[in-house]
Amino acid sequence: MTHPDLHPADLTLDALEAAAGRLLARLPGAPEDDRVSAAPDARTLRYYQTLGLMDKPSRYDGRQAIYGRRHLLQAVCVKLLQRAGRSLQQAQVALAGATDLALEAAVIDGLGLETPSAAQSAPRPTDPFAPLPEPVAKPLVSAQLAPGIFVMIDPSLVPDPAAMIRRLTGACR
Amino acid sequence: MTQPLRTVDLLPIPSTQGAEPQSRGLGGLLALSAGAERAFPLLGVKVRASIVGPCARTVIEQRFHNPLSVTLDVVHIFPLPEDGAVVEVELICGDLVVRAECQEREQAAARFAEAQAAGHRAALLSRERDDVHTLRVGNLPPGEEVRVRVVIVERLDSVDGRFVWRFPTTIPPRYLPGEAVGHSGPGVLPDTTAAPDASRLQPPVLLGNGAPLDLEVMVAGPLFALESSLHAVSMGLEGGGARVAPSASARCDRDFVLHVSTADAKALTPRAWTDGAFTLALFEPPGAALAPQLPRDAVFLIDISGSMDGEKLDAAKRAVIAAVHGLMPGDRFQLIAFDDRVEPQHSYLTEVTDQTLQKADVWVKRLRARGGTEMLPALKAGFSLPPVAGRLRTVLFITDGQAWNEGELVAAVANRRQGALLFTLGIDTAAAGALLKKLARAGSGTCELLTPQEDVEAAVARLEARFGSPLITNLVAEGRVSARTEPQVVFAGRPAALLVEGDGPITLRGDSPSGEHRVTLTPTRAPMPLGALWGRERIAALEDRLAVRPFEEEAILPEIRRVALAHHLASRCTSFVAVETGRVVTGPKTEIVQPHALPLGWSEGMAGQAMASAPMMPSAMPAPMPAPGGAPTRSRAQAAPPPDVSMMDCMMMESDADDEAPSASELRRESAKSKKAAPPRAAQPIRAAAPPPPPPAPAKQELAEKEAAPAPQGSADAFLAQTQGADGSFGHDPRRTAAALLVLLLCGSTRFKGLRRRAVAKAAAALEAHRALSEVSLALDALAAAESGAPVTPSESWRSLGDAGPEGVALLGLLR
Repeated sequence: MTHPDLHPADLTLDALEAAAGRLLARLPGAPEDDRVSAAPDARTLRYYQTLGLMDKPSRYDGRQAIYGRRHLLQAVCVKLLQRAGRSLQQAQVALAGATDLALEAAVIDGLGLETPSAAQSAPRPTDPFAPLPEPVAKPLVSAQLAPGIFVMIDPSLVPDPAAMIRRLTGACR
Repeated sequence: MTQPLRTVDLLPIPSTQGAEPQSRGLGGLLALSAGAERAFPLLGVKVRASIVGPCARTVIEQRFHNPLSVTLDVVHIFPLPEDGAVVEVELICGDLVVRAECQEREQAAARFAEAQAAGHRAALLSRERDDVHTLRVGNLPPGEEVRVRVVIVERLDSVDGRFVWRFPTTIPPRYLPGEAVGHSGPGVLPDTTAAPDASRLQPPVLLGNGAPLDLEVMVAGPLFALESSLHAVSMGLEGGGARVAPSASARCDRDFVLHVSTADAKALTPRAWTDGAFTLALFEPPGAALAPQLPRDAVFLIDISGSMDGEKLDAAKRAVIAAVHGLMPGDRFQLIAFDDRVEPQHSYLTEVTDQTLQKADVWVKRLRARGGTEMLPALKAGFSLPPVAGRLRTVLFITDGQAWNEGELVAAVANRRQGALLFTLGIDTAAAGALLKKLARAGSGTCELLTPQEDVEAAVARLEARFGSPLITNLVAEGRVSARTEPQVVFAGRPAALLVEGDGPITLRGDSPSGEHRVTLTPTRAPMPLGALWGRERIAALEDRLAVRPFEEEAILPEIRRVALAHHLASRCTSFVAVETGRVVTGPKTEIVQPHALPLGWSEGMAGQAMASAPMMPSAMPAPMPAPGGAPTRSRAQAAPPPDVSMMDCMMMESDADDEAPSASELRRESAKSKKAAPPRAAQPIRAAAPPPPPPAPAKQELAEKEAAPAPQGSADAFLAQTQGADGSFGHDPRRTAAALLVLLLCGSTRFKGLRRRAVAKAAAALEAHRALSEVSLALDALAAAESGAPVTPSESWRSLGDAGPEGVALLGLLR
């Protein structure tokens, strides 16, 4: 199941800028004056296009370029890679030919998006080109049992993670 | 006491086999970006060219691989020489070679789409512009490789006795005017009102190095000199010719430019070759005198757009200053600089005087590179002043030519020039020759392409010889079907090339100011692809017509299609398609548009400027994006070092029985003579005023016999051409002028030959009134002797001019 924020309707360049900004705002501590971390503005998005980091527009509405989900994923991915210390040149290599699936996985991973369960998820805009839903992320519980010793527990398989951690901690003493 | 630290999201390990490694979240992408250099699909380009006289046949092999774990479609928008025609395409999958068929464009595209859908490996080559082609490779399986071999033929331009072979390897980001109206093609720019095909033309910009280039040129002999202006080259003698290759590992980031002087350069024209079915004739009237010139109104259009920043603009400024100083007394001029604004120095034509020349120098030197490359308003401004009877209007367009709106520019020149002649001077490491040649053809002038590293003053001095009226007009091949139906013009140093059907003797007829010119040539047999070249030239003529008369499209397009199919050429109506049906590739797919590196000397800021000021983006891209991790965002200050410049002059000893080449010893004598005539180093004090020569790069020499070329840069006569007054005198002093005239003579120029013929003519005219002075008549007599063919022999009495200012010093330096 993918995140609803990743399924925008048709976007103009300005709307794309805003959507990317909203997603990137989830990241903690992006200083405003840091151009690497800041959300890409329209000018930057155009630059991404000339580098092939972002695809050509999906279509034109009159003289207005229309963008979509893939462009949003690409723009956010570039920023995520930059925040991880990668240059645009490295981003160009990594993103060449990246499928929608790969982009989406990276964005969900990088932004730490919670995937709503099927029951909670609002009906999302139908996107005929969207890939089939795939299990993407699972919340795991991690804990430090003793200095330097960590465990991770899948709560869907372990009924009471907290009790399990207590037991394990006891065993470590 | 323990507590859960935090909740983390982890992706499950993909259970499906063959899933993409990239789909492992951000970590997957980070691994890809950090790991060993993962290349783009284009692994390398191998080029093997063979040059025989004025023809070249070039085999280009592009090697693609699929670095992904899904099936890949590659789109490669790539450059080819603008005068070339694709005659053959092969798709090579391992041992399998599939020869492509030349079909109608739509038919070929449909066949490719079908193969793509069926999972067959396939290749489609389409011609988008003279210099831009698109290669699509379909269904490249993960981890595998294919090669595509493209064969082109071209006719080389002859410029001042040298054939020029220019091979482009990258498409720089060009400026796109107009309003966006759609985006049909695979490129990164939209289609616009000014360039409706722009979305098929611009590949993405590759950050980092271009693909490796493995290039080798075989030049058939006998040869006199080879020169490459953007690469250091190594050479070896082979089978009566030479094998030339870049001496260091090269990349696809600049043109490869080779100037070839054949040993029989003097006997170059008129000449004709035939392959039995078609004939190529080169014609320039032998020993043509300085054409009688009308007083000239010269307009100079100078491109100061952002992409000109740096050494290109410096070279352009030197060119303008040299050209303005080359004007004759009585001429008038106007300087116009443009980017996205048009800024004339004056809105009128100015008389050539010492004061106006000085003001022009100051004005030109102050120019700075700025905005977008709006050529249309600039060209309109260049042709805006009404023509004046009895004066020749010339427009010199100095630019890098990096704009996409070719069609409207060509039409504007053709429709607005009102008899003015347009000359184009392109300066770049990746020249936009297609546009500049088309503009010059539409303007009945010539196109000169320079690299910023070349000696611009010398190039302009050569250009001056033709920067006026043509020597011959209305040149036709009598009774023959010519590829270009309209009559040709011949400028000094730029012979006309006529491609006609049939073989046998060919009679050329043209008009010169001194009457009718007629010559009959007997073609020699040569293994040249003249049929394909005839077809290409015919198509080029039709394309030129279409640019000016778009309403004739319905008649012209079928004719282009017919000629292209008959000669198996890629054109706007025909493409090459190859399909390998032996294998079916399945699974998920993706597409990569192969990016191209910026040309040498361009900075990312310039790239941003060129493209970001495109539609929807009125403001220019200010600076390269800052990138963390010490990423190489190259600024101008730390731009690449100046390229290797090599002037490899060589002498080939092979003598071809068919050609009346001078013997080796004759050649050597000739070369020694010209060395003696060249200004010795003693002229240093004067040379200081000239621009510093580019750093010489020692090229690897494999040549048995190699003569060091006398460096033309900043020679004494170049200095003189710049200091000459508007009236032709030097410092209004007859003795200084006489000394200068003698220096020019010693440097090999007269009124009728040599680089500085215009300076000689001006000086001689200025001296006529002072014949009574014995030193003046001495100089004029020496000129007359030189023009009658006698060698320039300095006499002891010349030394008496040694005290005549800096010109006298230069003269003494040469006499020593």
